[in-house]
Amino acid sequence: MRPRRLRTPYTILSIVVIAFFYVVPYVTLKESRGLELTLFWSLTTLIWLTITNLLLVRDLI
Amino acid sequence: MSDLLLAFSLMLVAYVSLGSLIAYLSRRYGVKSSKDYFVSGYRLGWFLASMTYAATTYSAFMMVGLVGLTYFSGVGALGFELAYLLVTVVILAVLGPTVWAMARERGWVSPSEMLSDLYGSRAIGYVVVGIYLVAMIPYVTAQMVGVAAIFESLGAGYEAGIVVMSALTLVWTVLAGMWSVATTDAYQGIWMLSAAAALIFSLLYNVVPSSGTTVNQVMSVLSEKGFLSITSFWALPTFLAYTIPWVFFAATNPQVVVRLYVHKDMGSYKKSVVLFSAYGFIYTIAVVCVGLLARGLTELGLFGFVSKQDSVTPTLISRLHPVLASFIYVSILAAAVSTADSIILTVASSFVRDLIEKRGVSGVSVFKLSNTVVALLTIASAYLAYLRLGFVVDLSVLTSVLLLPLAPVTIAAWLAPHESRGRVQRGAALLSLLVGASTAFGFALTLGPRRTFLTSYYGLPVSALILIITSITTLAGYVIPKLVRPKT
Repeated sequence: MRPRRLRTPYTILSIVVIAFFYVVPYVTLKESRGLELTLFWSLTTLIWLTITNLLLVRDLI
Repeated sequence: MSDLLLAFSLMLVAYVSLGSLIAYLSRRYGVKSSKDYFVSGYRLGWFLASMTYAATTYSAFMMVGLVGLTYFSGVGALGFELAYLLVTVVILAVLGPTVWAMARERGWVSPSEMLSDLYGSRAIGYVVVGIYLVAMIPYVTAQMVGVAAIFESLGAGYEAGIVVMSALTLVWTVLAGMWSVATTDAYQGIWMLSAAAALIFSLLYNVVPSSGTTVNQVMSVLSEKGFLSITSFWALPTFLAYTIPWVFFAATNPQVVVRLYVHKDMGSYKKSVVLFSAYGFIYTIAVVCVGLLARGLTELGLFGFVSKQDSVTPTLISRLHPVLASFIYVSILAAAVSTADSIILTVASSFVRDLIEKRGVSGVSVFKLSNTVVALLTIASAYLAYLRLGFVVDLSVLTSVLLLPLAPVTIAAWLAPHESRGRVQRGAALLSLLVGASTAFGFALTLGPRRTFLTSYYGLPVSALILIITSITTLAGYVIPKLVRPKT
């Protein structure tokens, strides 16, 4: 497998995730009063950090 | 002497003694050149590299500022801090390995030297050193002021706080440069995380139950009062004003840029990113939870309203057992020292490499010279903290905005290192830095640093305007040569 082969798709997806990180709370979750916003920010970060670290350690990005 | 002051004094002695022993022992790694002194000769293992990155990044702002910000503004503070972490880890994963490899290949020691080399321009290096001085010294001063205020509130005296903080910053740096800073950072990073964990457990299993309520009731009242939603404080321009300068932290702040060079190999680099991600996530969640729990208790009438943002943590700590309170107070000192010594070491590296070594000045002992510059910067920061100059302390709020023009200039050169040395690219980068930094500083002088931070034009904060202007200017430098290149 060619090292860092997923770098470009990963970078594009990262930009999408970061954009969602800003857009979703101000568009979809603006009126939510429960734990939705807390969970959205926490889980988005946790999931993307996990994916990033897995790809990094396996030399795919 | 109160129980708290006695417990704090004993805890401080323990913290200083163990930290000093660690710093002294780190001398065995040997410091023979400026490369050893400032970047550990590129020999740091993954644990030290990640812990020094974390302890340097997370300053006293977390336990004091972020707790208070959450208390006043709700869960938006979590979004702000996690946005930083998310983007930082992406930058570390995508760009970090390239920077690490280039640093070893080209022998970079300071971040200004890196930019100077990437653009083939000494002038850029000098401008960057100037920006670091204006932006970073107020930041170190603010850390010292924060620690001194804690000493004062405990009855130990404001001046004593400055003396302890500056002495630790100085001694733990000059003993072995990056080695003593990294080893003490690891020690302090563990202390900081342990204290945050101890505080959150104490709140959950002691303070909340003993107040006659439950976590569920706290969460219900937070939800009811809107603290789990986007409050009016976190209008989009404010969220942008907070996050834009911080998401580029990994590329603009010299003390973390230099930490991309230090790993002994790529395996160590990758493991350090993993550990930093985990550390940052856990620490952020813990600190935000503290702020939310404090606010919930206030809303339930079980914890008096705290009117000043920076007083939330001290007021909360005052309800804990003196030993636990002292443990947390010392963790705030640790966070401040670990950030301050890293900044001073890095700013000193820019002085020594760009202004002295690169100019061919010889016959000077690098070790003595570096230690002298570190001492001068520490004394200058301590003196400013002692004077309590409002403008200087306020200017620390703008540190990340003042450094923001470095973001497009740095990232563009990291992405296209083979193009960055062109005449047009160099000129555009220099123009970006000068225009961006003078715009930020001009706003700070006219509006004041705090107002500048939150002022918006057409829904865009000043930081966004600076980022747009400098990005366009920098990008133009890379695009124009391609457009005007004669076809062969």
